[in-house]
Amino acid sequence: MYMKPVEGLADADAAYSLTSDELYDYFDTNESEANAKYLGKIIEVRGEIREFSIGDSGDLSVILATGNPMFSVNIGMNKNQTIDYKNYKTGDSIKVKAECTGISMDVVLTRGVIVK
Amino acid sequence: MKKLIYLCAVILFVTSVAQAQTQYYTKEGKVKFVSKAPMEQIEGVNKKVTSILDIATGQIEFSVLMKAFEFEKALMQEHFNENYVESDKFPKATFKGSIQNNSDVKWTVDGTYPVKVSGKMTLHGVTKEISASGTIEIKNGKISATSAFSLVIKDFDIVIPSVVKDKIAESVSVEVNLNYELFTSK
Repeated sequence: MYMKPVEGLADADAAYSLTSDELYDYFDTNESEANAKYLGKIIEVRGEIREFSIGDSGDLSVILATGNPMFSVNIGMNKNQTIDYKNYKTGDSIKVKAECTGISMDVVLTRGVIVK
Repeated sequence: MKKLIYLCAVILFVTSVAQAQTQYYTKEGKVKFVSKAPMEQIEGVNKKVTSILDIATGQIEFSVLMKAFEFEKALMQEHFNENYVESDKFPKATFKGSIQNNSDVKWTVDGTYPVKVSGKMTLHGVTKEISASGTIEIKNGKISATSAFSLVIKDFDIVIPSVVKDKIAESVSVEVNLNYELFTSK
């Protein structure tokens, strides 16, 4: 059991479903309340793709637009999502399931999988 | 009077542009820590570190979301968050400091510059003064920064139960990699 790898989220149930705007606004307005509600939870987020970002080690992130042009919902994707994302382009709507880790500049989620 | 207002507006605009051009940021910085104990090696990687750097003053800040550390094994991640850093209670680690030898870095000239950074790190609700050596690399105008240092975990009131002391090191090594972008309002 100790050696069990971190599981993917493809089959995980989302605790909450909301838009990228709603998620960012909640954290921006009341970070401690948002932390209490969403931190470590699996969330389904819907939003418009602002950009795709490929990190230095080849990791894919999907950046979802919010009402604030400077800040986003920034979702680090699971490694097995590198093919699926090519079906999308900037400006498209997308639904992603991921684990919420809090707000830094952006609201950051990790282990993301695209919900079809 | 209108001329005076116009002049003030121009001065404010020029000042804000000049200030913005000294500020760099990243939202995709990487921090990795490694605990090497006799019985086990544990690695956690966070690829969503936020950092702001002002090259005019050498001021540098980090914000590290603790739940964004990823581990190979599920129980390592669970123990890290629940038992050690208590990430529900202390969701962020932060650093606020400055490059001590900022004047040695020629920010507009490609090159590799050794730097020393000092400041206050807050982790697990405890704030400590820390210093670390690092390297600034400037290549084609792009700024990147690396650093490696050690942290003694009990300095941050993180308690390791004696039953797992052979599995978790008292001091963990930390590596930081950052690729900065010029801060511009899009």
